Amino acid sequence: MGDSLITIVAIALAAILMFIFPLMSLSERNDDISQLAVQTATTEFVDKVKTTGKLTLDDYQQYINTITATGNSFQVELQIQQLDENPGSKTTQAEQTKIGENVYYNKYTSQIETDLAKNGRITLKEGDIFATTVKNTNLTIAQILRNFFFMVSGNDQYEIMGQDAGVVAVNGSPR
Amino acid sequence: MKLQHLAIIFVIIVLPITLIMSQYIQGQMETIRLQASYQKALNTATHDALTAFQVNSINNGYSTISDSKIRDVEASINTFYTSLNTLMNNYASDRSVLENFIPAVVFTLYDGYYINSSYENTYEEVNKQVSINEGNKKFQEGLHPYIYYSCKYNLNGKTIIVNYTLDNAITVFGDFGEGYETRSGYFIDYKKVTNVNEGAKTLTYDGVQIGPETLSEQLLIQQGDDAYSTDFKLEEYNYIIYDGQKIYDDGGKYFIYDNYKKRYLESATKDVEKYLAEKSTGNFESSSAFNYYYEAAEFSKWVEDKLGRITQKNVIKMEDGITPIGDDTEYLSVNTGNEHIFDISNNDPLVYGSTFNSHRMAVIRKSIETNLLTALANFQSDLSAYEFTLPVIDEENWYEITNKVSIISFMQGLPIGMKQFNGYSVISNTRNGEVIGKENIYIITNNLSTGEREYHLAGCNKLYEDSNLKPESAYQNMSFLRQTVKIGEEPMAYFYLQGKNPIPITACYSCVVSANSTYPEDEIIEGKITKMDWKSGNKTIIADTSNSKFSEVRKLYMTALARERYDAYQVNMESMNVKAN
Repeated sequence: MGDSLITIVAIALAAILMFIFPLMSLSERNDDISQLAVQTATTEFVDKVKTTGKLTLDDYQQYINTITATGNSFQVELQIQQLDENPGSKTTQAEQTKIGENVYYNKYTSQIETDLAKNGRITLKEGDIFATTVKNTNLTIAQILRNFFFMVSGNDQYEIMGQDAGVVAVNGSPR
Repeated sequence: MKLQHLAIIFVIIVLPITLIMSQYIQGQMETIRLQASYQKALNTATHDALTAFQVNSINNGYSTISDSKIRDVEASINTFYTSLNTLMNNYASDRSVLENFIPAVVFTLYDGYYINSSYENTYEEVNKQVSINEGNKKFQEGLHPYIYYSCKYNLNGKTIIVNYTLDNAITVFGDFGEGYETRSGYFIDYKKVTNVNEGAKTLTYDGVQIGPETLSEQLLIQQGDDAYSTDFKLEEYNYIIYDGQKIYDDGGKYFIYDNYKKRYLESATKDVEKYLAEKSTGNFESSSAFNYYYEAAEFSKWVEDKLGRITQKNVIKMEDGITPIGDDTEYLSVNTGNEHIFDISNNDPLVYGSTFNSHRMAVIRKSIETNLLTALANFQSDLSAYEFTLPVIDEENWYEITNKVSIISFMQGLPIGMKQFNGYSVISNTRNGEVIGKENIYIITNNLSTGEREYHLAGCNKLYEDSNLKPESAYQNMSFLRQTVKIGEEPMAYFYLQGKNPIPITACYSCVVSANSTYPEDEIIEGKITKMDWKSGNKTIIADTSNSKFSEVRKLYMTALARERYDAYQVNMESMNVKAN
């Protein structure tokens, strides 16, 4: 009786040790690699926009293809902040000792995607800010296993995330 | 064997594998993370360097003089290193450490470029004597001599050199049968210049009436004699450019804006009057646009006459300076075949796709590539055994390099975990005093219903759609930048050269602010703007020269482009037009 109980415990332990543990470790590594690939792709994408001054549909599609190649589904958030120096120049013109503030106008993902679908490209100018944030929306194997074993609650937690932003360095050419 | 033994053996095998794998992946991740962060640092540092150059060249009244330009470039390189080190979390204790990984920084300017790289400078001293021993060469980082965008051609057995620029200005050196000659000018389609009236200073260029114009801008003038006075007044004056300087008209008395005060011209007034009588109508008006087309037409005729038969086959290889490239169609990045480069039939040099322009870009690219290859191959690093080579630079980057002032920086051989970093960055800029690009001209409009003034890019949609907007004048983009008045070290006041006191001229929200919805400037030069469906590539004509609004904008644009290019510093070209005896 006592022996068989120990055997069952040993088999369960062996199963965890020999199967679950390596699987968890591997799936975690897999997520790390995905995370890295996504972060690299995001940085490259944002860098390209920053150094060319334009966001093209081609580049955007390619970026989406690269990140989805990791086998996960993603939510991509884009943001363009357009620099407007007009309020500043109005202040200066009225009172020469003041510079006045610059204002940024924001454009978000849905507006940007509409513009891209319509024109194929968005031109930016020097001083604008471009930001991209991407999070996975599916549950990765590592997340499922972790939720199961550690009882981590909440399914909306993301595991893979890429984020980059920066000031556009050049004026994009119109065509 | 018992199950437990098997389990232990399994663990003994799997555990090290997992550990090593995870270590390896960690290493790879760190490498890629560092690579991305260094690339970002390089891009940002290059941008900072260009911004520093921009600020210096705008505020340095002497930035066109070569010594002064070297100073601006060197200051910009300092900024590059300081910024790079900060962005790399103070990777190096000082600049000399970083220099080992930066094989070259290239500054492409209006008519040539500087390469900042290592060069052998001194030999070692042995027994108080210079020891000329190849093994003891000392390398030092610094600016290589300025290299012009030049290309040699073999024409009927004689060598001709053409120096190109970022726009359509060229300088030709050569013996055309009457001894060596040097001539400089803007190369345009001279057949488009008609109806020349030298007295009234008017002509027609491609249907656009060019004539004298009155230019004005506002200045913040310090009141009283005290140099530290904080009493400023914004006043508007008409100006012309004489001898590379702005001369303002104050009711018949001429002055220059010097240290925020009016400095009236004394004896030089006569020279200005003489200049106005000769180069303009005699009134205080600018005829620079007329002079640009008039002189360019004469020069272009000469160029076509002398160089009209040159094709790319006549190009002499830059590597040896002797052999023409002949039938080698791969030598230059753009193959123009048998087309005549300096023959203006179907070849308007102002237009991007013309043979002249394609060839110009290809030659500039070849020149930079050849010299960079050498600079990188000869680069000596004390800290890295990396083999420094020129990476492949994107086509898109080459377009920027050959059309705008830009900085190309390279960083190689820096250890980043599992490999060595190899990256480059190209940043270009249009807001500087170096070159007047086609996109540098802004059109000022007056809104007839609200009275508000705005400035637009010449290709702005709104200009053609909103009938309330009346185009008034056009100036280059530098006139719309904020100017700072400094007394001592402290900025005291700010103003804009273009403005109508007390209301400023603001940037248009459809073109300048949102940088979108514009037509290419080339289409304005060619005389019709089109809307391109990006999916099919089909173009529909929006307006052409039969549209009065378009004609009005085109006239302002063509006049301003010519005037600003003529007034830019390089245009004392006449002094270069010499003939050897």
